Amino acid sequence: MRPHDFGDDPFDRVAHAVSTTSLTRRTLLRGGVALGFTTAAGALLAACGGGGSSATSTPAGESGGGAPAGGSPTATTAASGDGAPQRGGSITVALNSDLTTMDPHKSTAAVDRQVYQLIYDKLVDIDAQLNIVPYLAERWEIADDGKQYTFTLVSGVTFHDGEPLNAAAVKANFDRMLDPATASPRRSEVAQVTEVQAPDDTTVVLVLSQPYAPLLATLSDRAGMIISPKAIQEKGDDLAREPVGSGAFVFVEWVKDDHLTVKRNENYWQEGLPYLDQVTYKPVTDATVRLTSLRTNEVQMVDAISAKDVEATKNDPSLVYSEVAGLAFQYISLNSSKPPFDKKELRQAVAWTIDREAIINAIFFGIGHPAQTPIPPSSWAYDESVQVYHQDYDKAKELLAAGGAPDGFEFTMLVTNTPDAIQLAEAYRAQMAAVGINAKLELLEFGTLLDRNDAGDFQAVSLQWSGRPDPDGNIYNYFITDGGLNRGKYSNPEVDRLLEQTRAVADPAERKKLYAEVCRLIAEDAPMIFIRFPAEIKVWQPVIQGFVHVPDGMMRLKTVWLRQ
Amino acid sequence: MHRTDTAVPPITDPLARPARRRLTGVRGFVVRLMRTRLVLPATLVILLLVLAAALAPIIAPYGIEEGDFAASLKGPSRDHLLGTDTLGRDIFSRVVYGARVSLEVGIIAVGISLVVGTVLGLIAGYTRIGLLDSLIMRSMDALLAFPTLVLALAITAALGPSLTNVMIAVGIVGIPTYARLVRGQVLSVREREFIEAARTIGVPDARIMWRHILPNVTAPLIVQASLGVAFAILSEASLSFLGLGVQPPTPSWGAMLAFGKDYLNHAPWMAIAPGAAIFITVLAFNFLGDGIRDALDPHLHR
Repeated sequence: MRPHDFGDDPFDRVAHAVSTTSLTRRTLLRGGVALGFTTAAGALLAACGGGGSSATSTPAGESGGGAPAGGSPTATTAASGDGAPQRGGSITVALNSDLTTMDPHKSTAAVDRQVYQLIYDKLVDIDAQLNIVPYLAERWEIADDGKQYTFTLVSGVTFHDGEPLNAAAVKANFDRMLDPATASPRRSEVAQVTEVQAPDDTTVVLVLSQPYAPLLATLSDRAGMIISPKAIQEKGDDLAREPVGSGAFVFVEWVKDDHLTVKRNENYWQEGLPYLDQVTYKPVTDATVRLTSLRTNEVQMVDAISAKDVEATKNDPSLVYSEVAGLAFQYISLNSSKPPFDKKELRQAVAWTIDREAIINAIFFGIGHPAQTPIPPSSWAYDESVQVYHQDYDKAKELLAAGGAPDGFEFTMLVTNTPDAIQLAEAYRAQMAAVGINAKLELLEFGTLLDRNDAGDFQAVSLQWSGRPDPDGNIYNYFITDGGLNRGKYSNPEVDRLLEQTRAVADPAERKKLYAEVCRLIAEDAPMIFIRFPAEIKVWQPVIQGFVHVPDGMMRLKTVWLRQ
Repeated sequence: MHRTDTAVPPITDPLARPARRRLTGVRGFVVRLMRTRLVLPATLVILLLVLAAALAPIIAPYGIEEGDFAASLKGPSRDHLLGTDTLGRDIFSRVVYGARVSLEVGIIAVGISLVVGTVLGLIAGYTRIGLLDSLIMRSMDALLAFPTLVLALAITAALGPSLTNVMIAVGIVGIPTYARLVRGQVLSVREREFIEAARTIGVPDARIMWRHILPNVTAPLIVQASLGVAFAILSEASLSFLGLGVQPPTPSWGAMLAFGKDYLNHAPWMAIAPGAAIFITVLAFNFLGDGIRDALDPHLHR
């Protein structure tokens, strides 16, 4: 895909394009009504579709008994581990779109990460409570100034091609990510790393230019996945189709748009793991079809379902439904660099017209959590006390008058061209109309919408961000002056100062305070209106045991086993 | 003609109606038309639609965007005859307003096809310039080579989704049918004596085409156009269903159906109402078109 600075990840956003399901178009295409579309269009659809569906995933918030601040997501139905895990068996998993590449250093699509969880090992991982836990690195030390990380690697790990996974291999991976010639989207994620040292086989030292608190969280994702250096040397760009990692599963084959198969790594370094012999991934872009495939046991696990199907799925005794607070947020972005939203009062006026609860109840069947900030309830940095906006038409009118548009004004909002996204936008429109604000909806193909968004060519846009385990990934690049995701050229020196501080400070309690402070400032400026935190949902057949539902939505299947 | 005193019964089908004087002219056409089965109800339905479209603000109890979030997905009731959608908007009102879009597209798109197709067909058929004829008709063949909906999709995708572009797309897609129809008719008419005569006395080609040839091809054109309206309405619904048609907040039956289909389990009325509207309208135009064809067909005159 296109290069993106600052880890800007179009497919992740896709994945969450407010859209939701809406597979209308795809379904029809399948039906043969519209064969003949160009492949480009097809690819685009596929891309959006992926997104759509995960967006489909609904909100959570309710999980954990409505105590979202705690950051301890609870699966409503946990896999009951009756009996000891058993070896053997195969499962098929439905993904919401096909993969784009198998090379983690090149990937920009959220769905890619699902399969990487099995093929690659990462330096560290996150657990269900978003704590950083050891993985390839069995322990690590952070220098007091926050500018040096020393990792101690597990020894005796080998890649699927027999090469040893040692400090030199880790260094080779960082070298590749940081090499501008690789044009890796990971580069900006680890941009603070200036030097990688490998003093011995099991010790890796990362030297940073400045303290960067989110580093470990970043290394729990693609930036922390280690590829065989021999494969990097020999395969180069072919890694995209022939991955060589050290993970619990070995890549077997990938038939584009049909299936991707991995099999058990017999030499996996974690004793006894994995349990399954084989996992097959199938891209199923239509959320309804996905759910039907699960019901008919064609697949045993699905990535996301539509909000409207949640109730029925929860009550279906033949399925296991799991919902945790996710990392994503849905938003309306207002372009602070262009009229009419270069006037703060008009941005605020729009913010005061939105009734989040009404929207969540009407469109998302009550699933989800109203959002006031970009930091979701699943995060340790979530602060429920930051409550800035609710629907108040009188306030909105005052602000309209202050902004020089007492009778309201008109603007154009870019909306993904899918029924669910359109419905959401129509809801916004209806609520804004009450004070004379006329939001014209411009419906665009998701790819086009992202291009317009990237280029800053919009007055307002309705989108969703898939979220990152560390709050930094949900806020920094969106609001820092000239940030990679800061499309509306929002700039507030005080916000910049605080955001830099959130990266420099290591203590989570201190960071949480800083985030609350910066979130209030951002809300006051209203360059973005936060609407809802969707839930992270997975559904599976009861035969599946031992699945741990992590808020990042990644399916870590090495602990999964089948009840015989 | 008048067999009043014959002893021999006429050798006719006993089920045939008594012989009637053949009706001619517009009045005869209308009478014959109305006698055709299902034309009367079809005409009534179309009249109702036209009324609904024209008087939508009076007939519809609510505005198209007037919604109460608290009353979302409510079933049919006294307040909301056909229920409400996810945003709590009255579906009956939206279906009524939707008739405007459907009729507008139906008529304007057919108008585009009809005018452009007829002109091209006349030129291709009448002028004896082989190259021009080939050029026009091969282009028409090229257009026809695409499945109609795919072509309409491609055009709206290229032009961008909007009501106007839907009309243009559906209009373009329909052109070849008319062009071929007209050309075929023209070829059969142009060698007739009255054309020869007109030509001989020096009537300009344009005038011959307009005054002498065109009137002779109107009957099949009318039939084609009335059936074409049904096709255009269906195409608009398909394009809107796919998100390439009418843009919100304007209600279109196709778009309403697209939203509704995801809620078939929760709120079937969201899909049934616009679906039924499309079904009945298309059926009505088809019946009318069939009726006109039968009424204009000399072989079927009773």
